[in-house]
Amino acid sequence: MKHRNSVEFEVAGEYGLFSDPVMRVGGEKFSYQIPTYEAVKGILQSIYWKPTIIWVVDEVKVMNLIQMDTKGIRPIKYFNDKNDLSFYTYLKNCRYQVRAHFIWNENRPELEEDRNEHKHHNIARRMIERGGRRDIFLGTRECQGYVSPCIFGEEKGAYDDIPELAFGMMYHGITYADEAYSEETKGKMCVRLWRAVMRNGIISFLPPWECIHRPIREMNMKKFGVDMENFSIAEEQEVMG
Amino acid sequence: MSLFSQLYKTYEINVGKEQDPEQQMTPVAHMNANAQMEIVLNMDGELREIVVINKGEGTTLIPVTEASAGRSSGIAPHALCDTLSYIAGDFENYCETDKQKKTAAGRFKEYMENLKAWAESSWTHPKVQAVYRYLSQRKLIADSIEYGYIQVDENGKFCDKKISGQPYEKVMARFRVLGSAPGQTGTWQDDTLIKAYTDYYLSKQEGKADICYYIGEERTISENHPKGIVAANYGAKLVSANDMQGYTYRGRFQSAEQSYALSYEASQKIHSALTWLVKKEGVYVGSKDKRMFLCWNPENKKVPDIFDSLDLEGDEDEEYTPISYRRDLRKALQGYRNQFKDVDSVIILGLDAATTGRLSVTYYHELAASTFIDQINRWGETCCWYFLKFDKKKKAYFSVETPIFRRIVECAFGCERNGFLEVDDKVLKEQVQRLVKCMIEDQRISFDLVQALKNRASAPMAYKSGTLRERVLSTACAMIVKYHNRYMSKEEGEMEDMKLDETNTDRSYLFGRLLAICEKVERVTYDPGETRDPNAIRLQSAFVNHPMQTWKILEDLLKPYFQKLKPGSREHYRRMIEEIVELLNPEDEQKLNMELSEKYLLGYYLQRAELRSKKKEDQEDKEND
Repeated sequence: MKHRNSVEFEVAGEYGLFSDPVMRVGGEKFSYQIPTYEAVKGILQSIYWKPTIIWVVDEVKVMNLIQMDTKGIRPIKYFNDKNDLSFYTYLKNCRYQVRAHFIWNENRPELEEDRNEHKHHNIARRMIERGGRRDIFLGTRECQGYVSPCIFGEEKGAYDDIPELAFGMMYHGITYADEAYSEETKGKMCVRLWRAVMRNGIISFLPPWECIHRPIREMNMKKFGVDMENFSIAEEQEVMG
Repeated sequence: MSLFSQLYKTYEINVGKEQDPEQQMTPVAHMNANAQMEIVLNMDGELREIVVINKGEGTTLIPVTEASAGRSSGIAPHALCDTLSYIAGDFENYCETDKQKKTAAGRFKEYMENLKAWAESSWTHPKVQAVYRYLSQRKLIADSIEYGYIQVDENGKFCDKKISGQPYEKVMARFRVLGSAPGQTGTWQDDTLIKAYTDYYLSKQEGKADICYYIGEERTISENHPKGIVAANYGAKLVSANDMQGYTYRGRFQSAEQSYALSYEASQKIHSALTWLVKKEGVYVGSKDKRMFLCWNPENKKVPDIFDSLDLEGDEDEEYTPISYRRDLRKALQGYRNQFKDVDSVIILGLDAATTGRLSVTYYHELAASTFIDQINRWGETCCWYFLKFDKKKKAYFSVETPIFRRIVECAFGCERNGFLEVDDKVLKEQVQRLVKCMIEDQRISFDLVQALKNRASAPMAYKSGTLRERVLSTACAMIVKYHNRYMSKEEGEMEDMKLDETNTDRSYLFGRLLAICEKVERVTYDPGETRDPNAIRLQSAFVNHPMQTWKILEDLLKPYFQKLKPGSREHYRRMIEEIVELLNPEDEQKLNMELSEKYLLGYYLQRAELRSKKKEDQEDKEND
């Protein structure tokens, strides 16, 4: 579904790693075959983000064939300088088209004056044309990606002819306390799960509030405000000269 | 789908299906035991018969608890089928000593309490109730005595006898309840009963409840996951979160529990499916340091073994030509193809332990079953060559086949030891995996492999055994053909026909042909039984590096051999050499003398084969005259 402030872009990278959380804890990373909601949201945040907005990913279209590549990695241990040997299974030659929109972050009342839809939408679109403000990466930081504008669904993808492909229960993302939307998620950090399905190459993501939630632990949201002396609105500053 | 989701699906589809105990997947909370006695009841719990099981048919799947599965001493009853001392209420009446009586009484009491709990729970089953009704009568031993299987002495106590080699208290009994579906009357054959117990057991699990990442619902969470999945790395676990110091889960998560949640049910099912698959179909690569490869279809349909020669039905000693080989290959694979539906998939998995204790996935690929068969077909059709074989009478013949992965790696990187080619495990594992990837994902094989094979094939003097030389040469040719097939300007479907191409003007190909002729000229002059290597072979390495130079040397060396030939043959060979030299591009000396590409091996092999067959034809002509 297209919203008034939807953006569309294509992201591509040689490698992608959307780690399966259960296998990750042993030290070996094993990628899901499709991007997680959180990873795509991270790409959007790298393109453009302000604390006023929350990005919501609507659809992702898988353009290239899903291929995996396992590499032996020698990460350095945390507590000494010795090497560890692990096998990370990456996705190869990833290319996705994304459609997303943004909503206001209601947990930030101090930013109410910044809720100017045109402003954020236009900046986001311009930043997509420029390939994003910050570095793009697909899942983990070593998987460099590149963003370019596109028209969602115009180009034919590798899975267009397959009516349905199910991926089972997957990790959706983590809801942090500052983006909470319900009593259950306020003041906590929650993991979200959902049952992923790809239809004709397109994955329609559930919005975060419709997923299965697993609260992990308590988390405090940092509050900003003028009276707390850690926040000020730009026009208050005097322009010099 | 992720690996674990696929394994979960495999479990759900296959649990309780297979009747052969050796081939069964162990469902959650069950294990295999050896039963000697079978008690046949009807649905109302009345005894119909007691039989002693024939030797070799006693393997039975029985429901267990965690405590009873690993019981040694003490009282830990199984859930349904157990030894006579547990299930027979009148066992104590026939015991000699008070100690035995007490043990038997204690065992029976606990067994019946557990069975009652199950029979009265919401996961009960008519068979369970039938068994409970019968055993409550406490007359199993009396009935067994009536049937003559147990003998008592004058005092009415147990004799010191055995049933099928087991003393009375260790005799394991299993139950059969008549009146249910045929073929499922045994408690170990009834998948509804197996499922009922599994669900009952899972419901009784005590432990923290949390949302399982695979099921998506609240379940009891397991912290300890099974090991021993892969026999070669017994202590290694696929899922483990015990690293409190390293980078594994720390960061956002403060403890292992926060980082993930895998329920007992999902974990048991996943590991059970994986262990079953590994035992049934796991292929180990390597002799000491092994990697395990697994190739399966979740619906348990038969999948061709890609590590073994794609076994074609036919005579063992059949001389395959390129055409007949490709035809038979397609036919054999069609058989597999017919059983798959469009939506069926095949999964290929490679597991290895990078460190002891941690099992990791080194290769994972999932593809449609039809595509899988296509890839095997394509591989077999394009990567094949003539191989030297020996029939039952030890006579040599040539047949077209596809070398298996292990052979390819051995020929490319192995050393000759005791007449075999041996290669280091580490190299073998990685290279076999690369080849698997090329076959399954239809990718170009890497040039370094082709180059390694070319180098080995170009140094025949390094091998003492003639058969090894031939094998290395044939394997090299097969891989060269495969390498070039993908990117030559050949049309889809056009394949190497493995015949000598007399119009080919590629420099290396032509020099290869020259080499074959040089070898032949000398061999023809040999006395029968001569085993000396001809000059051409001895100078082969030099020939590859500086063909023009070495060719001149060979010409000189061959002069005396030419003299030995009959004038007709001499002319014949001289003409052949002239024709080839003419096809060589008259570029400057430098270019002609450059190192030969791997294609020379093709020219060499095919010319040599052509000369050999011509000789046979000539001989036959002579005999006909």
